[in-house]
Amino acid sequence: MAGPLLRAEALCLHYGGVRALNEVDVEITPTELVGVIGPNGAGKSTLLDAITGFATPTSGALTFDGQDVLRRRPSERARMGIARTWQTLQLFEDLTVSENVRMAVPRRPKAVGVLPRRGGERAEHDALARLGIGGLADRMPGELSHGQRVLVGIARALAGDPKLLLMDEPAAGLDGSERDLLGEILRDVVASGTSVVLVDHDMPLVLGICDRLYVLDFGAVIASGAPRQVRNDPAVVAAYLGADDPETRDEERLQPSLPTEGAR
Amino acid sequence: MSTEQILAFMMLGLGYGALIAGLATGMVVTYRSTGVINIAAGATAAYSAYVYSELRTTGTLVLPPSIPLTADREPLGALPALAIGLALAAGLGVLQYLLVYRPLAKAGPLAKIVASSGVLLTVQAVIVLRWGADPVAAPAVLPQAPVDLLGVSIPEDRLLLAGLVVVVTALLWTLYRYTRFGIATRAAADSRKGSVLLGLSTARLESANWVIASVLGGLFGMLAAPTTQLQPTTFTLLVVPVLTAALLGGFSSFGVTVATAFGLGAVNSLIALFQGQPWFPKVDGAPLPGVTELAPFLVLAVVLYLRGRALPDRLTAVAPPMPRAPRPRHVGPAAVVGAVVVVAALAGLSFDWRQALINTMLGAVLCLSVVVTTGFVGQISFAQMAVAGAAGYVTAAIGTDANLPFPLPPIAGIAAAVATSLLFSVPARRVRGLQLAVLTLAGGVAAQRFWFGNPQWGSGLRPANVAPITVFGTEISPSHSFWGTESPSSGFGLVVFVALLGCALLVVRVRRSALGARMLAVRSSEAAAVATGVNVGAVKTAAFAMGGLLAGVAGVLYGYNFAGVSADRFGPLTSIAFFGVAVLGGVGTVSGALVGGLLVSQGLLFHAVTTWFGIGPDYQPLFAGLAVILTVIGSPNGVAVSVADGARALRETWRRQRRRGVTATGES
Repeated sequence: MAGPLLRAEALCLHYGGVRALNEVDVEITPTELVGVIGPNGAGKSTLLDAITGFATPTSGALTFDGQDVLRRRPSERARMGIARTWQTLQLFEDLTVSENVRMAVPRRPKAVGVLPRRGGERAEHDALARLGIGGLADRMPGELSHGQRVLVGIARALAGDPKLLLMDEPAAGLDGSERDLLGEILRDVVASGTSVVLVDHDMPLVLGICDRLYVLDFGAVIASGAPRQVRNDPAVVAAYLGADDPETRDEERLQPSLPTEGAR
Repeated sequence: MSTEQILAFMMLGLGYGALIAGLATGMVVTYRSTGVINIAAGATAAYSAYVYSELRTTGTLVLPPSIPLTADREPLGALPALAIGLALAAGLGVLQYLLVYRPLAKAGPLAKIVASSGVLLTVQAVIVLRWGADPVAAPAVLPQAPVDLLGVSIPEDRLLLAGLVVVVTALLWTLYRYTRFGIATRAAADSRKGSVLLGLSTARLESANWVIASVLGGLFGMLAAPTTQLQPTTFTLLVVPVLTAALLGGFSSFGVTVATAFGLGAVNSLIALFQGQPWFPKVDGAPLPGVTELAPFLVLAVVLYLRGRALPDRLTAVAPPMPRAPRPRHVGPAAVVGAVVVVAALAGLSFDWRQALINTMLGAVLCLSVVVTTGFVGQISFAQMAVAGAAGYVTAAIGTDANLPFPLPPIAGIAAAVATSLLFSVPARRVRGLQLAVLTLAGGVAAQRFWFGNPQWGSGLRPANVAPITVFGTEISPSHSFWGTESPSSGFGLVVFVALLGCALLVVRVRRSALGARMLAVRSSEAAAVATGVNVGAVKTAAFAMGGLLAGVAGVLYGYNFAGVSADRFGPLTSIAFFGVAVLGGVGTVSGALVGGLLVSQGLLFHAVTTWFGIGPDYQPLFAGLAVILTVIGSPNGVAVSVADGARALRETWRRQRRRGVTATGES
């Protein structure tokens, strides 16, 4: 396999005077699990938005699967094989779990939009079964626990058989066993040929399962490499612990972002 | 046409501009503090102006109960009258906030704008009931002596009004920028939870903001009414230019808002000048109507299109709640029961009840169009009557003017409705939510004045005839004998029923289809829909086409029912009323649309009320307005879903009790 799956070069994104991304270089190769960590407001979610097309970079280059995707629309990028999940999940609350997942199953070419997609049922069933939530197919998202909702979000993202899956804080609000299950699922997803980018504040999870890490601070990559290397990198320690007042900085910065309203 | 003339007219426009500016700054205040787009702002300002005018002429305070304040209906002085008007406006602001918007604090934008349209309908109804729909002369408040300025002579009050707006704007700007109150308001708007934790009373802040907005509206309503005209519809629809100004100011900048308002005032006045010029396009010897209404719409359309963002700026953690849209159930049996009931009713009921039933069925078709565009896809469109009107007017033109035979006029009419609706879907691909609501409202006003009310393309003030349906030489119309039955006959009722049944089944089918699932996906989370590869633009376009089709069917049937179409039937206020009724019934389901049909004016429910309780039809708009407000607060999913939920809960309880009863008997 030649070349990376995704390559971002010198990606910059400014909101007014705020530099959300500053000359960010990221490379994802096929079948690897890459973690992105950094304090709140470091630009992690913005990076995901820029890759998926929900935010438009001010400058830089972005190639996916050998093609320039910087100016492609988000839906086109989705069809090319970039899937994502949200911290706020963004499930389709009016649709059943299986309908949620079916939405992401690619339609056969030329299929008439109004007709139901019979071929999709298989893929949809597989996506649910793969995460062990086949039994929830006919339930509504509103009836599920937060952990189950996270899994539905992942199942939906996987249903399109993406080449790259970007996940925004999936572990937020999960309990210990759910977090372990999430880790297993992600390793399994990578083993089956999909690369995963995991943005999360859950250090044990990220350090435990990722092949490689990027550390962002103030919109810039301050370190990258294997988890072991990154953990001992002085720049990372400084960013997380701060130089001036270790005690308070430590609490402020290592704290995972507050669970959102979605977390019950 | 000299330069002095142009300058003079632009200055004359200062009065109208000041009125727009006063209302628009109020609109910004309420939106910033409570997220409500107060489309009732024009109506409530009109109420103050009417009260003032009544006090100045007969000394009677109308609350609506009339309280004479002076002996022998002596007019009250200007200052006390102004003070009472302002106090009333303040009270109206607090009342609106406490009774309507505070209970809706956590509701989505749909609920808020519907509640606000309920307030509009209610206030408008009160004004019409008390003062009638005809223009009333408003007594002058400010001195109107001519003054010379830059070589032109204009009434003094225009300058005073403009000056007052500038002063008020500067005060507001200072208030929100530098005072504790203003900063607290902005903090509370950013984070309700945060400000509660900081110990700020959101209720007090928000009601204070509503008072400010309402007083501004009332003040400029009273002061500027003499420069325009005191007429309920005109005043209520001032909300369109007002919204244009507020939207251009991004609902945050007082400066841009006020500047736009004065710009619109000047344009408005210049159009009046141009209309008198020989080169201005004429229709039937009179200047082309509707240009004044077209201006804000075009400004809005262009600005929103250029500024529109393709994607939301920020995803809320929990999508603003929309009325539920459960899958339709028991469709077959319901259709059969419906058919039996309607056929029996058409055969057995007297003429007036039959007409009420037909109105109900027509209303239900129109509500179905709201179900698709708003209920399924979440696009708030206030132009549904304009779309229906397009169908009605094209049917009239093809059938009567071009004299083409039966199936052609309705087909052309429905096609025109679909095309009109698609025209509105173009901005819908770029703007969303409340912006679209504002744009479609402006579009509805423009369509009514520029098209339907235009003697050239529409019918002017008279109705345009719609030739009845004629199949194989048999005429099917409300007033014609059918199959030998006594005239007026029920044949037309059957036609309407078949159309309603077809439309309802179509919507059921859409809801169950993959397209329907995609529509609901777009409604829940546009971003997630995009990320799963759904073509959101295509889904919206499909929804607008289908909504146009349904509204078109309704428009065509309206034409046949009244044997004609007239501009006043397809106005924006009717659109707002229908939208409210659709939400009342339940905007997410077919059954909700059917309930909505029962509640339309001249429908079955109001006919029953009129017949049995002797309450005149004049009170229908008032009840409709109040019902809309109450439903949005008490039953946000609409009557149909609430009734279904209630019935299910009752069945559950009943079953449990029976089981318990059986056990109890077994024990004894």
